Amino acid sequence: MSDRDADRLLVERAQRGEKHAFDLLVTKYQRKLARLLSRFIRNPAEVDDVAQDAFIKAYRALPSFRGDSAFYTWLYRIGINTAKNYLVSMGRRAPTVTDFDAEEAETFDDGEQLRDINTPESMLMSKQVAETVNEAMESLPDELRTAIQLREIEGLSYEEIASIMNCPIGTVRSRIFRARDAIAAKLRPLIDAGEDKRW
Amino acid sequence: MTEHISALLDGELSDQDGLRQLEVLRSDEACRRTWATYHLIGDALRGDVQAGCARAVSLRLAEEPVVLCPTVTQRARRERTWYAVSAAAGFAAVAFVAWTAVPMLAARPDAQVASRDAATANVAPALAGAPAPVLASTTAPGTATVTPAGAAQIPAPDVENYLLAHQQFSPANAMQGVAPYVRLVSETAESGR
Repeated sequence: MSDRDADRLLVERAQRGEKHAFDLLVTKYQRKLARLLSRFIRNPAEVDDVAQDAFIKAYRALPSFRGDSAFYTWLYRIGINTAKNYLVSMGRRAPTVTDFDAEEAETFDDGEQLRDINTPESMLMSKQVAETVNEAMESLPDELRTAIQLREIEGLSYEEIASIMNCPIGTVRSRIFRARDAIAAKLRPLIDAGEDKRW
Repeated sequence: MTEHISALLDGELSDQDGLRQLEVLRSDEACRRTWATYHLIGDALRGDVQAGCARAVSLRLAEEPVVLCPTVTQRARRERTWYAVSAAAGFAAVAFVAWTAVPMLAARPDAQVASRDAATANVAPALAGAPAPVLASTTAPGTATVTPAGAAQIPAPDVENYLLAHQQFSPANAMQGVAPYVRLVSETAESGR
């Protein structure tokens, strides 16, 4: 089951009235969408509001989603339109259509910008989360660290990672899981103790 | 269990296991937390560490009316049915045309033989100046036995004239208009020799 297939199944469940399924999609794409919106909305609070609106609009528009494109490509367009409408309503210049296109949805990566415009509270929590993840990564055995880096940063499939690391796919799957589990174990106390429940 | 979540997140789970895992995610809050944490780890590793809006969206979704619509699968099934009906209608149309046209095409050689016989039967007595047996003057005995069906369909003389006069309207002729007359003239010349 590919990533797109998993999204499709979640969308179908959401279309059948299962809101939890849509929650899982929101969890998956919330930061990616916010990162996109932050390209032309500077205020992080506004980015958060527009991202929420985009997700709600997407939920309401689920009956019109036919699955011809990937869910995120569709969500991307909704996000762009929501942001444009927001900027127009605020009397600001909306980006032209050519500034963003659907093909960019799959490759968009602009994480640097948002970190600079976060609020102090968010920045503190962001810093703590980033440090915790980095420390956890440093403490991982080499094979686990390499496996999760190839997956999360390079975006390689299990098969490609298995080829690079010269091991079976099952081993890759196990290594990536163990890496995530180890990092999550160090991250959970921070997230659970935090007052900001948006993490 | 969480290993399956990890694989599902990477799109590396089999279809069957994926469906099962989605069921687990639907019912198990702890698994959903794991799903969220794993996504946070991935985003953090890609340098995207920020608070998300999932919780706020979830609260807003709770106030939204439930979306109920045909699923993609149902729509695809409907579209397949539509294609099947269209194809069946196409085949039915072709079959109808074939059913209508084939008898006419099958009758065409007989009609041509009959018309040729009728034409020569009319012309030959006129040239000879005396009535003669139609089959004896136009065809050899052997030929007549080869096409008994054509011979059996030779119409009465008064009907022959009518058929000749209206031959261009006959659906049995692939080419209508002057073509029957062209053939008639050439046969007349041959008969004259």
